[in-house]
This record gives sequence, C-alpha cells and structure tokens, in this order.
Amino acid sequence: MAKLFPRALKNLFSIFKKKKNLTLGVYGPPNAGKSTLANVIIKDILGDTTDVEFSTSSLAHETRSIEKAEKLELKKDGKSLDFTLLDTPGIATKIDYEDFVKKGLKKQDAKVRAKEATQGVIESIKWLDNVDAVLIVLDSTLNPYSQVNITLIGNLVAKNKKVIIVANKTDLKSSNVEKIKLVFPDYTIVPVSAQKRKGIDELYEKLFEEFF
Amino acid sequence: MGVQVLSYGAIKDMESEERIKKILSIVKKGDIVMFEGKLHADEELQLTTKALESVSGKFSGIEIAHLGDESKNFVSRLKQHVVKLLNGHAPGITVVGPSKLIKDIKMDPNNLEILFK
Repeated sequence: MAKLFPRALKNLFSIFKKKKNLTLGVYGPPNAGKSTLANVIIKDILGDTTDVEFSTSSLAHETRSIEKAEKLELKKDGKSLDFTLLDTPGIATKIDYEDFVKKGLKKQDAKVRAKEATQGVIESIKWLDNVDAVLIVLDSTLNPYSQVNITLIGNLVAKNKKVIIVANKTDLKSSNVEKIKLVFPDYTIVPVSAQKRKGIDELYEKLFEEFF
Repeated sequence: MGVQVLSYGAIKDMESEERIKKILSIVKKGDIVMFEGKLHADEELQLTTKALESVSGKFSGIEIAHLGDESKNFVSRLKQHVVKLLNGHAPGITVVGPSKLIKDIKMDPNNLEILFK
C-alpha cells in the first residue's frame, strides 16, 4: 500500500506534467538526414506553413552553423515536452575542399564552403556541452561502425547526456537497421524515414519515454 | 609516407594536450601513427577539433580508428575493466593518419582496413 500510493499520486500529477525547456541536439555524421528530420519535427509542431525551416542538400556540410528552433512543444497523453531543437553541422574528422570541387563547385567557392564547414564542425563539438539530450541520426544504408560515431556516442555517455539513435533512410533498399542495433546494442534505436515521414510517431513515443 | 608506432609508455605520462599535440605533429608531417591503447573519448574529440583547426590546402584533417575488444557482453566488459585496472590502459591499438593520404579506414570489431588514395 505504501508503495502503491506514491505511484498513484505520481500518475495523478502526471496529467499536468510539463517538462521544462530541454535543449535537444540533432547530431550525427554529414548527410545522415539531420536537417530533414529536424524539419519534419518542426512542421509537425508548428504546422506546414511555418517559416522555420533548415536548409537541406545532397551536398555534404549544407548545415555549417548551429541552427535553433526555439519554444517547441510536443504533447502526448496529457504530457507536454518543451524543447529547443538544435540542428548541427555533421561531425567529421576531415574536410577537404577538393571533395566539393569534385561535386561541381568552383575552387574558390569550394574553399569557402570547406572553411565554413570546418568551423561548423568545431562549433558542433563545442555545443555538446550545452545540450540536455541528443538524437544521433545515422544513415542506415552505411556501415555504422565508424570511429566518428563511436567517439560521438562515447562522449555523450561520458557527459551523461540522454541519447536516442535514429536509424534514418529506412525507405532505401540498402537500409540495414539490424547492423546499427548490433553495433550499438545498449541504446534506444528508432528506425525512421525522415524523407517519407515514416517512424516519426514512434520517435515521439521514445522522446517521451527517454527524455520526459 | 612513414608509419610511426608508439608504445603505450611513450605517451602514458603525457598530459592530454601534450599527447594530442604529439599525435597531430606526426600526422601533419604526412605520417601515420599507431599506438597501444586508445584515447579517452574526450581526447578523441579534442584531437578532431585540433585537426580541423589546422585544416589548410595541404592538410585536410585526420582518419582515426581503434581496434580493440569491443565485445558488449557483461563478462567481456568485466575482463576489459580488470585489464584496464591492471595495465592502466585500454587494450587494442589506435591508428591515426592524414586524410590526404588515407581514403578511408574500414572498421569492424575484429579488423581495420586502411585504404590509401
């Protein structure tokens, strides 16, 4: 009885439960679909007509500085999760302007883009201290066993940050979510196609379970 | 291109900053460095940051990989913990090289494959 009462009381209060502003970072390697996912979340909350939209591109390092969407509120079963969403430049250990030249940019433009991208990654790493929770977005068509992914997740764990791994691009034939589960067995992994808006509701469920 | 192999003893007593500086100085010269054990997760991010701060036309950053016993079951973790306590460092080997030279390091828990450009 003694144990039951506090739980009942807790459930009663949970009807009015509201989590105060959480800073939720969207992190991961370049081109994993971080901005696409962030845009889906923003549109779900603010509506299709919102002006808040992060830039996306098939060219790597499209996001070259931290971008914020503030005062977002997700509601579910009488609970509400207030958060600021951070879209971050993809974490990489190398940036070569020649890679942008190969993608069709002029040499001078490629150098500027590489410099901005480099500063973006550094900024992204510095912001790891300022987030409360993180969505690690991985491209599920690629091998998840990379040092960048391991280092990023290792750092978040060391800093006691809450982490959900989002296995993105599940609409593609070569998607392999099982491999991500194999490499990161201790983490909550949510299969998603941000492009097709699949698995997003399941992601929201996990957001409440893990971050509320 | 050269490969420098460092023993754990060569870097164990260094401060983080000094260790990172040493690794980066070798890689910036165009060599690959291999050493016993692994950097702390925070040191790996510091190394990445320092490497990116050094990016220029000639240096475009690093490739880094660690090969160790990444087994996730409880017994293996316990063994790793005991080894770490006894030896003072994590088992395995770490490879760091310049990305101008290394195209990719393909990793799996039992193998590292270094692909050159």
